[in-house]
Amino acid sequence: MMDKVLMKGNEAICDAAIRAGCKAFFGYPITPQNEVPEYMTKKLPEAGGVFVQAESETSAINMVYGAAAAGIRVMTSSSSPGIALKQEGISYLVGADLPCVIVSISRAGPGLGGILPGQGDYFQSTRGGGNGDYYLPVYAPFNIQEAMDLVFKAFDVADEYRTPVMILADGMLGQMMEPCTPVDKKPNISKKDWAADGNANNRDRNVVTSLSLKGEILEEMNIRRFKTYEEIKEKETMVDNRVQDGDEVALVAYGTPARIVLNAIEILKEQGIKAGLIRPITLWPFPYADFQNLPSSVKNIVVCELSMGQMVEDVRLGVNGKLPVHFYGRTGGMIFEPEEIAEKVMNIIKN
Amino acid sequence: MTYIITGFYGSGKTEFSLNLALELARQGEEGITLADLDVINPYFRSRERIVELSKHGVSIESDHLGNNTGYDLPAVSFAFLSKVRAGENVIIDLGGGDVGARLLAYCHEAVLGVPHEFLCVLNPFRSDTDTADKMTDFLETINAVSPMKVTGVVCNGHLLHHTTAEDVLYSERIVSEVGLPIKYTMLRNDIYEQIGDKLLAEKFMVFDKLQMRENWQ
Repeated sequence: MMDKVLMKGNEAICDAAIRAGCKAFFGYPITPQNEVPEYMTKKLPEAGGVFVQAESETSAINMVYGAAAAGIRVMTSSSSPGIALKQEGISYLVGADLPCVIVSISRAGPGLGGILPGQGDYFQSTRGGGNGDYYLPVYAPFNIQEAMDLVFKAFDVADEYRTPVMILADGMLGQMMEPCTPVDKKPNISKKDWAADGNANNRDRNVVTSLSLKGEILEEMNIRRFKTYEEIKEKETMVDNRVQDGDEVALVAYGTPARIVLNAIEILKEQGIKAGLIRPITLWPFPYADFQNLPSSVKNIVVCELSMGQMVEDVRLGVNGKLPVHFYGRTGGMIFEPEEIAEKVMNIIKN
Repeated sequence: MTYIITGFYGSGKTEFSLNLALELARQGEEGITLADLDVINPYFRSRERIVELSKHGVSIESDHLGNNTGYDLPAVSFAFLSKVRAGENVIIDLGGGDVGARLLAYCHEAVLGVPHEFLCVLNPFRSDTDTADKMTDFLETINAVSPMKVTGVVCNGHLLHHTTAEDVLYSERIVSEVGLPIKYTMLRNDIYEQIGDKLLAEKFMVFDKLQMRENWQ
C-alpha cells in the first residue's frame, strides 16, 4: 500500500535527484522553491552528499561548476530572478562542457516581480541569458510524477552529452502536492575520465576551463558542441501530442497550464468542438516536427501560456505559416481558468 | 472555543481548518474567525478562500495589510486574540512544522484562559510522518517550541483523489499508536459511508470536495 507517497513538487524533485546519485547541492533561498534547499539540508547529508547554502545565486552556480569539474553529480535550484543571476555561471559550465542539473521554479516577472506562478522564463531557459553560442536541454514537467521521472533522466542526459540541463516548472508545480511513486532504478553513473579529481601522478592533468584564447580551437569546440546539439535534437526531443484526426483546433501548452487546457478541451467537447493538446515536454529541443505533421482537420492553433507569449514564437517557427497561430495568456501570477480558454477558442472559430 | 491547528508541511492543516470553520458554521455557531498564521509558505494559505468563507459567516484574519495572497512577508495580525479572550470560536491555522508553531509564543496567554484544543494533523502518506515513531518525533519538535502541549491529533491519511477506504483504515491504525486521542478523522464522504462504523476517531470531518484544490488539479 505504501508504494505511493504524497509529495510536494519541490520535495519530489529532490527525492529524484538523490536517487539519481546527486551528491552535492548548492543554493540560495527564494520563493517559491524554498522547499528544495530545505529538503536537501536534511536528506542530502543522510544520503552521503553535501549541502551548502551559498551567499548568493552567483556563488551557488560557481560551486556547481567546481563540483561538476570534480566529476560528481550536482544540482542547484532557484526561481526566476535567481536563475537570471546564475546565467554567467551557466555559460561557463557550457563552455567547460560540465554536466549539472539546474532547477527553475518560476514566478511572475520581470525583475523581482511577484511570488505567484508564471511562465515568463521560457526565453530565459531556452535561449539563455549567458554569453556565447549554446543551448540547454530544458524539461517541463506537468505533474509531480513526471517531475520525478524527468529529474532522474536529466542527470543521465547531462552526463551523456556533458551539458547543464534545466528543469523548468512554475511555482504551482513546486508547491502542489500529489501522490507519486519514487523512481525505483539504480542510477547509471559512468567514470568521467575528463574530471579534475586528482591524477595520483599516473596520468596527465585534466584541465577544466571555458577559456580558449586560440580562435581556431575555440571555433572547433563550438562546432563540436553544435554537433552534440544535433544529436540531442534527434534523440532527446519529448512531446505529449494528443491531437487526433478530426480535431479542428490544436491547443499548445507546457507545464501545469497544460492541465488547465485539458479541462478546457473537455468543455469544448461538450460544445461539440473537437480539440487536442500538444504539450512540449522538452522546450529545447522543441518538438517542431509535431507542428509540421498535424492532421488536415486542424484549422487553428491556440497557444496558452502564463506569459505575454514566448513559446508561441517556437510554435510559429514549427507551423511555418501554414496555419493561423493564436495566443491566450495571463501574467503577474494570475492563472487562467479552463472556461476562459474555451471561450477564446470558441471566439476564434466563430470569426 | 479556540482550536489551534498544527502539522507537518502539506499534512492538510489548512484543508482541515477550512472544513472545521464550515462545520462550525453549519452547526449554527456565530462569530467564527479563522486566523491564518502561515508565515512559512505563501502558497495555498487559507486567506485564498476569504470570499467563499465569508458567505458562510466565517471571517479570515491574516496580516494587517489586507489578506493579499501575493505577499511573502512575515507580517501577522494578532487582532484576533481579542476574540480568543472573549471566548468566541477561533481557529488558528499555523504554518508548517515547528517553525510555524513558534508563533504560538504570542498567543498562549490568551488561549490558556479559554477552552481550547491544540490539534496536530497527521498523514502517514507523507514520508516524514509515515510511522508512529516519526509522528511522535514530529510532535516532540512541536511541543519543544510551543508554550503548550498538543492535546489531540487529526488523522488525515490520504493520497488526494487516489485515497481508498483501506488507506484511511491503515492511517487510523498508525495514528492510534501515537497515544494521543484521535479527535477527528478527515475523509471523503463516499469513504465515510463505506467504513464509517469501523473507524476509531471521536469525530469525523467528512467532505465532498477539497477546498484548496482547483477543479483542474
